[in-house]
Amino acid sequence: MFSAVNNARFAGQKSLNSITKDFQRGIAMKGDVHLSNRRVMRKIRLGKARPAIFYQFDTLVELSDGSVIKRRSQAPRDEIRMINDQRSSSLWNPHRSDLSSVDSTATGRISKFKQRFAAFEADNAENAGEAEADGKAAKEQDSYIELMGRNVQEVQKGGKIASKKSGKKK
Amino acid sequence: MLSKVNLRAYSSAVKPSSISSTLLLSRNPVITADIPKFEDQYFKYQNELWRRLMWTFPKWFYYRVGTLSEQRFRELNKRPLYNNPNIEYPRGRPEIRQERDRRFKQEVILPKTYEENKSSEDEEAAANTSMSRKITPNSRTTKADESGDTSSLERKLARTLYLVINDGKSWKFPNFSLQSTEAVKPLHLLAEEGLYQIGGKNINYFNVSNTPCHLINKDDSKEYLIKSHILSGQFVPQQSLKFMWLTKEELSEHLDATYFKEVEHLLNEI
Repeated sequence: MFSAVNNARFAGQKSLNSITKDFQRGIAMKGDVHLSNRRVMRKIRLGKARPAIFYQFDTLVELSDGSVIKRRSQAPRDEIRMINDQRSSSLWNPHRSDLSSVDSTATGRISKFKQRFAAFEADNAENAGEAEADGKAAKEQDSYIELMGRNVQEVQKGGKIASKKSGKKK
Repeated sequence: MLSKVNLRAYSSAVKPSSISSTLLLSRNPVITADIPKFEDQYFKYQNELWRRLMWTFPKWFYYRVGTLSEQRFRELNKRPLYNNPNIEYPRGRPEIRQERDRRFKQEVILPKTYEENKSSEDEEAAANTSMSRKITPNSRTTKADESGDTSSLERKLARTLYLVINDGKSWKFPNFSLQSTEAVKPLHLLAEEGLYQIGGKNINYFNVSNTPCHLINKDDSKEYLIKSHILSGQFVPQQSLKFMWLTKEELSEHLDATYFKEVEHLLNEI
């Protein structure tokens, strides 16, 4: 292990030597700044100093109460009309009783799926009823569960389980 | 020194001073503040710089080639001038990358959900009901601004408004004093009950703090000021009371000069 470190250090010195050699020869580009002898700074190329600004549209967003907000957006939509938002949500307007919760997914795929397979949901409900009937048996089983905790030795999870073998060379 | 303190005696009994609580009921700004012309120009300039630095709109990402939406987009956004190597361009050679002239900012026109350049009234009426109608920002000035209705809550949307009432003599903030026969009440509750009495129960308000924000101390009276915001509802005068919702500048015109100087620092500039 020790020898490996030594090797790495040696390799580092070697590469450093080569860099300084190149630099002295004038192979390194002019303006290359070597701030430390360990790390070679990457050159900032022409046109790479700009911040990455994706194309942004000025988007007008109309909230459900008719107020309009202007914002920037990358998506190619310059006008957005909201159906459900903070102005019509009963979550944000707890004092308003005139809000009818509009289900925006009423015509969506999930509601279609639910309509189609509503029969299976009913089956599930019946199954649940049967499960309630079986509840008594389950409770009897529960009384045995506490027995499971007896004479148990704790299993160590994570952490250091076995100490690492010490190296032969020291 | 010590003997002096011991010798000190009150020359007269303390007069029972009347305690009253004054309500600073404000309506917070609804829209963003009006900015001065210089700031407006500054933001416009910065916006133009920002647009100039933007990358080319990745239309290949949003519009797949061969689809109808891509065709619509292509019809609206024409290709820039072709950089023909055999032609001299007196105003500079176009630098075309990804079908965009990089010398200028890119302006992308998007297909609309409504038909543009329609003027007949029937179609406008139909458009007003449809979900795909054009979105236009609302006006920053309201009807109350145009008619000069100072009792409306929908005036000066960019400013903070304060409620003032007229008791027949002068304009002042609503002030409620504790009657000597009544049991002692907290100041904010005193103000709340008073407000409901003169303005009706149809006010949803938020009390900033039970602790008063200011005390106007006079010889025979102590006037505590309680801050609160009106959130919804209306101030409906119960006993033919005159009232107004005013900004800070308008308050300086209507309130007593010395009184305004006393409370000036409590009022919002914006």
